[in-house]
Amino acid sequence: MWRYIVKRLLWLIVIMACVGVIIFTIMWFVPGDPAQIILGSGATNEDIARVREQLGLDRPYMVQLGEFLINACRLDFGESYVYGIPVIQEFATRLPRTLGLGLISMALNIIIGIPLGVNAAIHRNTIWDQGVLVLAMVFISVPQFFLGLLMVVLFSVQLGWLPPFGISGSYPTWMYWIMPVLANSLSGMAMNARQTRSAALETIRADFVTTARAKGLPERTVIYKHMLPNALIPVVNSLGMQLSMVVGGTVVIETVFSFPGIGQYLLTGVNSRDYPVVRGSVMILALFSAVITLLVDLVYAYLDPRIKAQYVNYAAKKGGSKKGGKK
Amino acid sequence: MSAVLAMSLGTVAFASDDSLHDTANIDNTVTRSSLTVGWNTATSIEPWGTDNNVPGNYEVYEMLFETSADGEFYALLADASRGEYGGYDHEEGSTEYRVYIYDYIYDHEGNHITASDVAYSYMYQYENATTSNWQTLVSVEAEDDTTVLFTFSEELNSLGALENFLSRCFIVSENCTANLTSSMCGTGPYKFVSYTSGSSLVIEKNEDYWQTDESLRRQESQANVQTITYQFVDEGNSRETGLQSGALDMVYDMPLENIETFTDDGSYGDQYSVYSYVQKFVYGLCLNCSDDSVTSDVNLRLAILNAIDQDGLITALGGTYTRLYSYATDYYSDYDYVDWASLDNYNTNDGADLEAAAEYLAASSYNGETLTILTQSDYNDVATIIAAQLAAAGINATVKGVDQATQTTTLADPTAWNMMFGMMAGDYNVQVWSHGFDYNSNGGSGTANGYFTVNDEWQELLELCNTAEGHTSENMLAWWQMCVDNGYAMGLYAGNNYDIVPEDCTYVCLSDRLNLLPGACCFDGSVE
Repeated sequence: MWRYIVKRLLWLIVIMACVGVIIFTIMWFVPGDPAQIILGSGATNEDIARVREQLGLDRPYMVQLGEFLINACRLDFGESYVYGIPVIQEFATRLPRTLGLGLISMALNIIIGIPLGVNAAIHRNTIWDQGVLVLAMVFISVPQFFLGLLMVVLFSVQLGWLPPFGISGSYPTWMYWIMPVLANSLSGMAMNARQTRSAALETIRADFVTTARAKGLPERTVIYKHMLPNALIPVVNSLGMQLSMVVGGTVVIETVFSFPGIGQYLLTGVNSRDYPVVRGSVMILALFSAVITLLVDLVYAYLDPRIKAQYVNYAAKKGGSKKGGKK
Repeated sequence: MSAVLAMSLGTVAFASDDSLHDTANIDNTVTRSSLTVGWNTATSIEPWGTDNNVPGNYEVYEMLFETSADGEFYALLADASRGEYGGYDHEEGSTEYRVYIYDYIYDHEGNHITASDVAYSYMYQYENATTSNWQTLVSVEAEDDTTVLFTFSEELNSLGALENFLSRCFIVSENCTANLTSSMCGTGPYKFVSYTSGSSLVIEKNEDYWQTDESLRRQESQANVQTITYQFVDEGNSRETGLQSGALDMVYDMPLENIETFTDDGSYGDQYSVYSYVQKFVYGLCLNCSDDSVTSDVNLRLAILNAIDQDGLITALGGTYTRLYSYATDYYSDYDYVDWASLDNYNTNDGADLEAAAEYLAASSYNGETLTILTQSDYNDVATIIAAQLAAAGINATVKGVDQATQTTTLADPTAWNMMFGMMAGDYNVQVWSHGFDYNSNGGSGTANGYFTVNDEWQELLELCNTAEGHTSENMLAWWQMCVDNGYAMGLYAGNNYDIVPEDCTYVCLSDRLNLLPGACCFDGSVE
């Protein structure tokens, strides 16, 4: 198993290097000159050339790429052209907010979405089941930004219970998080409920569940000890994807709620051709996604003994053949 | 609140209260305890950063001189009682300018501001490359505590050049200990409280403001609000709900589609007023004169420009824009040099002149090619209407909407576009022209301008217009006449800004860049 983990970690380095080269190259070829944007349309060609030189944009592609990759290894993505401060410094402020938003949303997805799905499967074809399905369909269908705006109109404008945007002000700080988290998590919650329901329905008819029941085990034990761990295997796989998406896809939510996270930072960077910001944000988000994928694979292996056995057998086979070779 | 100006916007009717900029309503005796203002997200609060629209900058920092929203150039840190020109001295033919500052200026940390701080601020801004058109600056030196010597490589004869130096740099003490990327420390009537990147900026009234002589304190330097919170909200709908929920008291630059509920007839009309004013931007159409473009044919260019119905365009856009009769707007002081509307050309036509368009088209080499209108995606609707108007004259056109950065790059490729709809600004109309059409700016190559126009006589006239002596009605008219004779460009409309202010606001104060100065606005004390 450790061999597998080390191998995956080595792959992680290759993946990050590829992401670095790709994002650098894309930004290199994307039309738009940061110097022109900084100085405005009335700037003279001399001024633009001077700023390009100061930003180091006049150097060859390979020189800039090499410098970027070497610095990225030290998590040094340079200084933002428009914010005027090191990208990593801004990350230190914004990343916890985005991660907080993503992780709380994810926690809600799991805590509410999975039990809803299990219950819907257990009570199949009842009003409860139908209700869960209808609600899930609604929350999957409605775009996040629209849901966010509806929430603002209801909870801020009509009821005056929650602040409409921002992260600080006259309300207690935690109240600023409620609507962004809800808007960010409802569709994921709905997806989890649907997926868990269908996975549970498949498992509930499996032979080993029938056997467990035939042995006279209590229904709770049948559900939580035999059925659920098996039903969760495909759900865990999709949770990993969801977590990457929840963190990487907060741009819309952060814009609607004026929530100062990485998504908003990235959006501003793209619009102003702020290369250090875009490259840095993409690298950090890619690293996060790669690590999450690795963790999910490990959890997957832990939950499914068949997969774990595959890794163990593979390692044993490799070790055995080596020994055999020596003989 | 009386509605002085009422216009129609499709089905939306709104009123802008012009009394909000009537100086008779100025009363600085009432101090509002707090104000939360919705503003675009500030990318940086640095005084010398790249963002020209930083909230609070004009209230926390000050410059040697300033230009008011009405175009008046006035001394701020400079001592207007000294020097031949009210704060500075200059001998004709010399490349030196001597500026005098008050000897009792103190910043928010208590540092005494001297001439060396002025030199430090200028050189810092210059060396950090956030300014344009400063290439003639050689040095800025302190001669004594209150005298600063500016030396240039040539005498500043071009129009607005000196103003571009004297009113384009915030002065910060060399001894300031604050980290200016996350904090602010200036000399202004407001001082820094807190800043959350991407979220908000809080400033409060500076009770120890250095200028204690009220007769020297202009309206822009007043502090009529105790605490101002700038809440960064980019999205128009969020700003609207912010006002409706009471999370915001005031909004700077509200999108047109979000102002309806705050007009006199709107559901929140009793709590807010809409204040609108003409932007300094000239929106117009420029044609590609490169040999690689079919629009290098002057007859086709004139056919295109005669086919445009400005009034129809403005009506289709909602009717709230101000029609232009030249590539110039009355926002700038030199507009009145020429009676633009009385001229007879495509820019003064009532509607489209399809007859003239047909004649020019017949005389052109146009063979039904589809022309490309390049614009920023935000203006796709405008470009689409223009394309429809051209279609009525038998000219095929398609719209290419891109982001600002892509537009700049695309413009450099003469084969990628034929017409460009966009906007341009400056400090005078002739400067707007210079920014757009000079050989050496806006992507010009030095031998042609950014629209690939090669007309040395036109260029020389433009350079002449941009000197203090050459800034005359004759020269402006001659330059414009050459423009319309050759069909180089057409001014279409000037846009409007919409600020939403609370009901207790009696006077709205703006900076020269038309940024709202909430602290310098006046309030009647009816809302707390």
